[in-house]
Amino acid sequence: MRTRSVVTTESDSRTALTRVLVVDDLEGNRQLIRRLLPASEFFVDATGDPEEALAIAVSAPPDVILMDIRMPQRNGFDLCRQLKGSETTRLIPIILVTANRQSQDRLRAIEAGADEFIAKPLNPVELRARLRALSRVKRYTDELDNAEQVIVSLALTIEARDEYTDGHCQRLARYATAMGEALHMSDAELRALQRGGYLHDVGKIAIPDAILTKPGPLTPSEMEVMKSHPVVGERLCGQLRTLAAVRPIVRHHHERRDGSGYPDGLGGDEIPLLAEIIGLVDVFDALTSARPYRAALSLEATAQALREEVARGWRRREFVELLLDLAYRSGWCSGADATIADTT
Amino acid sequence: MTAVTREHEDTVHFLKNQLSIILGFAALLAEQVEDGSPLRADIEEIEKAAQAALGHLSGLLSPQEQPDQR
Repeated sequence: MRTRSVVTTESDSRTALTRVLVVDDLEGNRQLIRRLLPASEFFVDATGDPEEALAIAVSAPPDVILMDIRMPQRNGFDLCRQLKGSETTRLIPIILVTANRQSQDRLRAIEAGADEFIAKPLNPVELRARLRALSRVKRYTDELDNAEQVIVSLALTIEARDEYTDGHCQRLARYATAMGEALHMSDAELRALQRGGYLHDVGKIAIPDAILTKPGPLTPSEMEVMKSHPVVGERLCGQLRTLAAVRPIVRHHHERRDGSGYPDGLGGDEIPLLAEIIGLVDVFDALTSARPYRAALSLEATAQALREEVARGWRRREFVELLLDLAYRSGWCSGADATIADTT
Repeated sequence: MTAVTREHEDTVHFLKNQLSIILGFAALLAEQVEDGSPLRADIEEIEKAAQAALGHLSGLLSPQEQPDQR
């Protein structure tokens, strides 16, 4: 059922082509679209099987998917919704194609997350123009996505420099999003918390190993160097629009509610909420993880330390209690078996 | 939706799809034929007939299936 209009083993020769996945149960339609799209510009992969389309979208993501709405096995709206709901395929533009022009089909296409809607009979000039426009958007998104991946890789590299922070970013992303969900935050805020968990310390790329992994308290001058990391990190994320919501987290996750934090000495509600959450789970993870100069704290000792920070005016009480509640219920504590040690 | 209505709509959908394929290939041919070629007039006849059939099919649809007139 699946056919390709261009057969070549030279994958490099296809990189400049716009890759289109056609999903249509009628061979006549698949044949027509292949003929309408010149091989000099388009690489067409076609299938009449919706499940195979899902597999192709994951294994060899196309630049654009052109999908029929009415198919016997599964309708295009459902398939579109599934592709747009998946983290791996949601950025692939989808054009839904139908033989009907009714407004309810257009509305359902929009609700399913489709990027475009085309009615049959297909106009060749219009079809090519829409595919070109959407593939440009896709390639631009890919570039942004790649840039974000570079930044995330950078953050994980920094984590790898210090054996004592192994898995720290993943845990922060998990703790922070769990708090966000408990606080009924929006999907966009949850995504920012997830990314913030990975990127909050990206500015530590500028901190020398001698300071970053020093087995003991830092001197005042070393502390000044260490305190530059939120500002450096914000600058690193600054050019990426996809990271706009993460920048305040990176810059302000070391602020305290009494204004004694850094880099800007913000106090109370001046501190961005998401930064406050990341700041809190950052401290929680530091306390419950082993350090060169102390063992990991138990959950009870961590709770005591965090409540002392509330008493000092550094943390929001309801956030601390929520985090501790989640931690007790979910068993978050990498140092649960550790003995209580010095917290400084 | 009754079984008869469903069958009726499936048939209309099938015929519209086939006519769309005919019109699509006609448009493809038209792109490859130079202006003034006698073939162009033949292609236009195919297009006219297919469009007329499509219009007729749309008239057979139930009120819910009627094309958007806005």
